[in-house]
Amino acid sequence: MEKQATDSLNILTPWLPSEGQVNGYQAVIKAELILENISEFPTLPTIYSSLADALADPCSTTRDVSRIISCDQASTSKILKIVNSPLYGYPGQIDTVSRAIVVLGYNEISNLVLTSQIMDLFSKRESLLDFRPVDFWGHSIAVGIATRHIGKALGLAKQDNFFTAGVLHDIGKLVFFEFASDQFTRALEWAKKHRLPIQAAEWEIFGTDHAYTGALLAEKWLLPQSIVQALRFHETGIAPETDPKLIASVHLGNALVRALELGYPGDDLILQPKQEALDILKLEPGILTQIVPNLLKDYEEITRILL
Amino acid sequence: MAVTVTIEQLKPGMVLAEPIFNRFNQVLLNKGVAITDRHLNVLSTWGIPRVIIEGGEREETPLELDNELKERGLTRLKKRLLWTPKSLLEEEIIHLAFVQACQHTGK
Repeated sequence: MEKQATDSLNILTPWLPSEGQVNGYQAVIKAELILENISEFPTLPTIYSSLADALADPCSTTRDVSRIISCDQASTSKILKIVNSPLYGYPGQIDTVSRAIVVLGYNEISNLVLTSQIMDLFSKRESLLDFRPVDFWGHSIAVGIATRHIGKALGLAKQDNFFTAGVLHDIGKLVFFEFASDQFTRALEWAKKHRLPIQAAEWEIFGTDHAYTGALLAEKWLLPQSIVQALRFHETGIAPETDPKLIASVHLGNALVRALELGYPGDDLILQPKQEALDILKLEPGILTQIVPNLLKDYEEITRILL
Repeated sequence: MAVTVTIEQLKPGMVLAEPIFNRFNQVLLNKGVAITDRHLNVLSTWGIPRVIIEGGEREETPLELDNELKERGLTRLKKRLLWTPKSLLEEEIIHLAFVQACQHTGK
């Protein structure tokens, strides 16, 4: 799998160093080193692990799960606001966590808890050069919304994981930002100087990128595999396994949100979506134009709830 | 909610909210039809000036861009765009980026 991942990176990402100079295995090692050097490694609050345990236990009931979630009042109120927003399509109908679970299912509710918790975890507020956490999250939330809208346009019965995978797709950048800020500053400068995406600068400075680093972090946090894979492959848009539509949707959502200048992901370039990812989605022309007005409206609303 | 667009603004994939009639009051295209390139030809042959399409939830008057705004939007866009589109979907992304860039520079 590692070999395959390297190959696809070299073929699809033209700014990467040529083959032989970089491989996926080394990138994972480098990412591993960065995570190991963090003295105060961010751990997920216990509520998420109790939640994961409850969800894995076939005997647990909606009541058990909603009791765990309701312990965290801040998360509860955010989640209820999100599920009642037009993005989820049940405006004003869901007033309790247990009702939210019945309507959206355990998986998506636990995803929303996770999203809210992780956003609280990275607390640094001051900016590095032109990289401001609030704009980073703006970009991330917009990608979450775009990804979910693309999922809807694909006509999938459920769009579980789409919002969360989109919101968390760039989490590796926050690891650099919070725990390797000197190097990340150099990466930001390098990207600007060479007019290349921040990902290229990460390869130059860190020998790995935010996709590898974010996926490794997600793996250490024991997040669902579909999310780990979406973090890992969102830049290439295709993955050797798991949920190809989810990954391709995050990829296209990212390209669309960069085009629309919502938030700031570390550079201002518009990225060309990979044809391989577009082939997986097979979207009709005109769909994105239809999505954008709702995307902009949801963006205003969801950033108000989460930021 | 339905919105009225001119034939120039009508793009493949948009869905009609009302039927389109020709000048003999015959239905050319029914409501609910998703527009294709072929339809665009038919409509321009019949000289249909504007149609009503499904337009998401908010009603919007299409942004009228004056030339100066377009110019500034284009400058802003060009700095961030280092590739040329190879498909309709990529062109669509660039068009959306252009509209947004015009709005940003207009603020």
